[in-house]
Amino acid sequence: MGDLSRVVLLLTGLLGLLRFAELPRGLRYLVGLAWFGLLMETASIFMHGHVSNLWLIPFDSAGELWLLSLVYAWALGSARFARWRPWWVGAFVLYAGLSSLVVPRARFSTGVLVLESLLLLLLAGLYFRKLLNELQVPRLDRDPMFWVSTGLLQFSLGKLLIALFGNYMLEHYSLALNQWVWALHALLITVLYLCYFRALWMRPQK
Amino acid sequence: MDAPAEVTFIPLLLGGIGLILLLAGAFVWFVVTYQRRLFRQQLHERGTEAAHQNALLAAIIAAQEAERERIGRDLHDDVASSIAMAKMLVDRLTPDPHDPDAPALLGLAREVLGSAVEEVRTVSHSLYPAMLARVGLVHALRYLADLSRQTETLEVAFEAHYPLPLPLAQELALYRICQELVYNSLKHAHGATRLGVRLWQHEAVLTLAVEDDGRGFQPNGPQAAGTGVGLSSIAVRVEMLNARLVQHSSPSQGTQTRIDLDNPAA
Repeated sequence: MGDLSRVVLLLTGLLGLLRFAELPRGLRYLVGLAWFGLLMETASIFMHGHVSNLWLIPFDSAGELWLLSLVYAWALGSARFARWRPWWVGAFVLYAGLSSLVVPRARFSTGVLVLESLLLLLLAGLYFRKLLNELQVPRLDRDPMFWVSTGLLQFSLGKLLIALFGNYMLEHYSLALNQWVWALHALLITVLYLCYFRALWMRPQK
Repeated sequence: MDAPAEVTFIPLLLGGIGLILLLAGAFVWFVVTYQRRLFRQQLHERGTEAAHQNALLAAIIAAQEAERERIGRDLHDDVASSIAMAKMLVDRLTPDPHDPDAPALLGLAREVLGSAVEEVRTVSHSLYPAMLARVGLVHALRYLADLSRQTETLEVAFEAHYPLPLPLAQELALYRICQELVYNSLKHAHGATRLGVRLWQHEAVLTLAVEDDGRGFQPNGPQAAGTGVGLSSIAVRVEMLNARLVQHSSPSQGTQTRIDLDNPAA
């Protein structure tokens, strides 16, 4: 399942590169996010077996939130959101950076993961709120941000629970539990990348 | 032997995640369904609004045409015939200065031309009440009441209490409404002996009331349809003023029309 998610991510990144010129600015950040994800996956693969790749989690979270905040700044088109975005994302990046220094390398940065999930849920929630308030999208299945937000909603909710119990899994290590949880995480992330892929696949509505 | 804690934890965690994902799916389904319903509702409202705007536009055009027809008729029946008669009288004048009929013909032509001037003034006043801009709504309405008295069939009463004047555009709309109502009474209220026009400010509400004791009409009957364009033109202006129109009429009970308008100046 992990390999499948990497393949979908690679396809999403390649599709993004192919369509980059015709994509609106916000979705170009999504292409950047796909390639950032590929970079993190590559680093994780190289580190596997040598050092704990859990150390990458705060950097992954910080980069992911930063890029998604840029995507949502474009999608929401809110001056207030754009004004406050550098501050709260900057604070999160700082927190994630400090967390990478403080949290032992072989443990999950639960705080970073939980906070990131909550912030991503907030971004998706803001999009759905705008969707219902403004009623400008005649067909939701043709709106790229609907797919991005739906993917993020399911991924962040699942990730939130996994993050909450991540360190419990490490303390009470069981191969079965580990395999189940990572398979589920890979499933969630595959669905998320499929949603990104769908968002980049469709031609922007005029 | 009991299973280890981490093994019994698996179904709990997976069940929890499954439940949350189910809720997320239900939420997305709700958003999609609700958004579709709102969108359909919005489309329906836009359609209704567009139909209403079209109806208003049609009413405005019909009112303009009716007004032009009325002015054309006034010009043709009154002004043009007066001038034609004056021309005929002047044509009968001979170059002979000692013609004994000349003074009488000249006097008659002067009288007819004087009447034509009056008629032009009346038409011009109905086109644009210059008096309204010059001396205000009360005087313009009083002048309208005076003109109505000239029919000599109605006793016209006018009263006003209007301490907080509206902007000119709103006054003009109110004047047009009153003009239309008075015209309707003069034209349709057969047997009427009394016409009352009242402009009254009470606290924040300005009321314009026009009533007659004529034969009245069934609100949905053919007579009401006969005054359709005039009533549409009134309805358009009432909507433009954000005012409320109340009309009561029934056979042999006369017609009472009231327009209530919130006066922001109050």
